[in-house]
Amino acid sequence: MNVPMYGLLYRAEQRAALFATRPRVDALELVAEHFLDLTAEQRDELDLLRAHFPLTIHALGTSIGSADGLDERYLERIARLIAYARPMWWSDHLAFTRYGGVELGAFAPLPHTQAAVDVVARNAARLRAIVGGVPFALENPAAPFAVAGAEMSPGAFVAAVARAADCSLVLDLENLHADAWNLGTDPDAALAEIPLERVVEVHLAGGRRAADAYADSHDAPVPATTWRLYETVCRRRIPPLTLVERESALPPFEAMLRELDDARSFRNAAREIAA
Amino acid sequence: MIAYQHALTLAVAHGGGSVPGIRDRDVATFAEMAARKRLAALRALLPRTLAALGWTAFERRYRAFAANRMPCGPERYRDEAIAFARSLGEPAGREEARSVAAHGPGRRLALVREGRRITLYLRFRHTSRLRVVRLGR
Repeated sequence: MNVPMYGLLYRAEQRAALFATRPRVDALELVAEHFLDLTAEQRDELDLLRAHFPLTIHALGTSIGSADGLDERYLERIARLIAYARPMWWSDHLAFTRYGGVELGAFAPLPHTQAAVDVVARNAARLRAIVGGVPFALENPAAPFAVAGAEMSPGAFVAAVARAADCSLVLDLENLHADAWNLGTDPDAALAEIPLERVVEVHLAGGRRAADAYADSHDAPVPATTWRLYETVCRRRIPPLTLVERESALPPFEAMLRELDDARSFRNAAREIAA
Repeated sequence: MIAYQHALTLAVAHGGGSVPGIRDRDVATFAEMAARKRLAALRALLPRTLAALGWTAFERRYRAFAANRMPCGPERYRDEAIAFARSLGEPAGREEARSVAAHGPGRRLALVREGRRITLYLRFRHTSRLRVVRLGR
């Protein structure tokens, strides 16, 4: 079995701290949109990062659930980035962000129906034809609302998509936590249905309560509920890569390293139980 | 699928509306979230315009500008920032629109004048390093 890795979402403003503490970070996730132009400056940064860390690329604009197909110009840029960065895999969100050429600017949920599964599978096939053979993974986003007419549960939908699109999964446990708060879904039931053998990456993050909702803002420490979900995952299967994602309100770097250490301790505990 | 995605896109473009199977309140919240993301992106791209107008006026004028347009394409925030800054009809906006445009990957050469200072942005190829030459004080 490959050694599981523990990494961070890369933020350029933390570069110095990252290299000063490099042995404590196994891998980095890069936001594709920060490197899509492949300018000389971006290539320099990619050269530096890939020389020291295994990378994954996390995209925001694939819009894999668009019923009117994919933006092939966007995918061609992704393909160039991936050919240059040589990540272990790349990922985007199980949602749609574009329709009719209009960018919504946010992840809109898909209906949990067979028709949506078919759309994603069709788009995934086209995506592979353009981007090539680097493995592709889909992340469960937090849903701002539920779409009526569901034919299956949230976890079953993720499983059906992964099977039909034959792709890997990025499991964002904080998004499951947010969905439980906002939509009343059962994260344990979702975890029971999601095929963990397809999960290549787990995201840990924290959000904020705002009025009567929970925002998956990824700008706070990982909450206890999300750690509990992580423990559940580790007991079933240690994920190949666990990432702490902090998108804004960056804390001292040491605080993020401590969260990585906490994640490692769950791995160790799970191994002891297994032994 | 198509009907849902079409209706939600229209609702986001118009700041709310009716989408079959979704509560109007949820649609309005989603549309507002999308608008706030666009606004945050433009604030980051146009810091000097933001400083010149102030936060309240920047948001008010941006919302008026954005009321009937939706960003398209991979450079949507940059394109929208340039169009918004130009639409203001004020020196700070015009100058910053040129500066943002100069940093676009498709641009090779741009001249930005701010008072007595002139900045020349040069890129010999799309992937080559951006060279910045400042003239004047």
